[in-house]
Amino acid sequence: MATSDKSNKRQVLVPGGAGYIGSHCVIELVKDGYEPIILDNECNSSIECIKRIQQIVGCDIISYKIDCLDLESLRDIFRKHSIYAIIHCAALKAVGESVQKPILYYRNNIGSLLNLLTCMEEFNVKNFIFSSSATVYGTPKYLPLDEKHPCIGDAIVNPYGKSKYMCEHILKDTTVAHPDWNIIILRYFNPVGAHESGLIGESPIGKPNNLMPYIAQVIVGRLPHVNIYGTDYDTPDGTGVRDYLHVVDTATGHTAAMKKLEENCGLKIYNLGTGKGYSVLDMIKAVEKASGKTIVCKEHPRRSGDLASVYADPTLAIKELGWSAERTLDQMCQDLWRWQSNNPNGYL
Amino acid sequence: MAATSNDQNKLEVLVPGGVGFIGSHCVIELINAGYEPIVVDNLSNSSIECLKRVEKISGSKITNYTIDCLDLESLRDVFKKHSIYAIINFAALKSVGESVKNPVLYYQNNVGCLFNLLKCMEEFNVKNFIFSSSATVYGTPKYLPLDEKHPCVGDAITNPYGKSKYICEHVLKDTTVAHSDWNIILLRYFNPVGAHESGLIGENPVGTPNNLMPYVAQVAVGRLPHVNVTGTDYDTPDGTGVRDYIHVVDLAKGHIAAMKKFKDSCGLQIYNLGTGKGYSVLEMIKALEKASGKTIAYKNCPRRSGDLASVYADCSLAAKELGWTAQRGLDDMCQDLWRWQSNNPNGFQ
Repeated sequence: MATSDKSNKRQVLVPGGAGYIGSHCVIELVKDGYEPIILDNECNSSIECIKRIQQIVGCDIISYKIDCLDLESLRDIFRKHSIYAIIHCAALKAVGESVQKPILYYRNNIGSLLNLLTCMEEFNVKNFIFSSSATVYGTPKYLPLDEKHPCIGDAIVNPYGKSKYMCEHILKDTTVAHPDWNIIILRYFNPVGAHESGLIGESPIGKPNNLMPYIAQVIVGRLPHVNIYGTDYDTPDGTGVRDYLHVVDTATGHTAAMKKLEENCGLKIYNLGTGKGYSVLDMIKAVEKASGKTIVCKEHPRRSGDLASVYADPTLAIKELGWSAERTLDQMCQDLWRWQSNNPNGYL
Repeated sequence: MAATSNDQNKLEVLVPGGVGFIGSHCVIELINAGYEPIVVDNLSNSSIECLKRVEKISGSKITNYTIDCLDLESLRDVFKKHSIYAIINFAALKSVGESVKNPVLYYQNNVGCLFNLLKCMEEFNVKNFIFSSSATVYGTPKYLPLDEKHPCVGDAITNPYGKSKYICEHVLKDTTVAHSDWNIILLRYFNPVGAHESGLIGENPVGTPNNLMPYVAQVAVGRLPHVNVTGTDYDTPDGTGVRDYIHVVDLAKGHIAAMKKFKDSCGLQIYNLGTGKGYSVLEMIKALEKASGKTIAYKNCPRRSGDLASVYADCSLAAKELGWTAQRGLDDMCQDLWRWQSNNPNGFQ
């Protein structure tokens, strides 16, 4: 059994562990009695986040500043530690940037995965949880999206989403060759919010790509107004509807998946979502309520490629992982507001 | 300014995998067409003896580096040293069965090499790229012949080798969206067979051959006992599987024809390289018997799961846009294969 030298805790490697989702997962791992080991090249995260995690959990966290594309450095980590499992959160995730820089995205997102798998083979590690995305479903053929919904390469319109799709294929083929490995693919919908301490949260570099961090930056005055792209969709209020999941629920989904690894589960795929869709206007109103601020909005035409509604069927994770999203829209917004108002410039 | 070598005015073309079966034949055609090939090969599935033979055939020394494309620094050194005009990327592992057992190796190698080459293209301002793709990206044919518009669906590709080509194609397509001044040509090969007419170079599989013709040829020279005909009740004229076999020299010339397209700033283009004609397993065995004068023993076996009855190309797009068609017929393929195999019963060893 892989354990650290000092304690009997199982060591869980977390590439991307200084990032938004990774940092929240690290906290839950500590709570569940694991010993997380963070790997992060800090290209889209801050060392300050790791300090805050340590503050929250009350203990030191082992972390290394390395790039997963550096196979030799990665091997050194596996030599140094006896890794029980990997929760792989390391990726570049800006959809628009991926269209402009596909080679960077593919090389980073797929190359990191391939190096981790190479190390798993070399160091006899058999457990892997992968950060995937509902983008792999492409344009929904039906709603809610369950895990059986087809994932078609040509229906994914950007390199970010395609890189996740390709990683999933690689992982599926890997389990065929390694039937004793356990690989769990978690398809996130829209993680939002922050740890209740307000000490950590999403800290995008430059303009946020996602709705909620954008709204949060409008309220603290970093951005002038929220742009609403499309007000005539076939949805209750005409604005786009998405499935927003509290980031702490996203993180507990990972620790629930960790338990599944113990059952020798092989390859498993789970949506992490709430099953409930909220519109852009719903979200704006909810953040106004949580913050007591008024948010200025501007309406725009639809953006090409955007979808009216996307939301999950979360029942498989509920059934097989014993996990469900517990935090409400109000909690998402209160926790987001606490983080953003205490840290108007993120970690800087 | 066009990228040229220090010595002459020849355009330098990087050929990763240039010591391999298809790569070596392309190197010859590049020289014939007035280019200067720069060969890069890690020799994991090729022999340096092949390069010596190519030098003999072409009458010139060929610049080559034994490096792994996964070694980005070594690759950068090659780009620093030369002014690369174009890349023809043959470097890949290509055994379907092995890919199922070693997917991580296959993806790391086939997709990882591509990433490093593209990264070097960005760093060193190289804009022209030809990629060795495969008809496997079409998956199970929805119609025949297969033209370039036929859908390529990831889930319909049943092995990591084919999926690695499919992934590479997507990466390349997205790359041309970001680099609208780049020219990327995907060539989807059907079944390359045969050898250069000199008989000095040819396919040299390590271990038991995965493909039909090298297997049949090894039976003909006595290295293997008999051919296994896997499936004799397909819906085809004689019941055995039908494929589109293309002479490797025709295939190589298809690459040279594609190189000409760069001058037109063609952007992203995709072409099948095949003949449009299908031959069955039994027809291929008989054709090699005719070329070799040997009787080739074979055994009828049940179908293999996943195999298809018929696969062949619609090659009209390459004919129209590249001015290229396959010239060599079945007899040429078999005579040239036999000459190579009988003169080199153990390949390059």
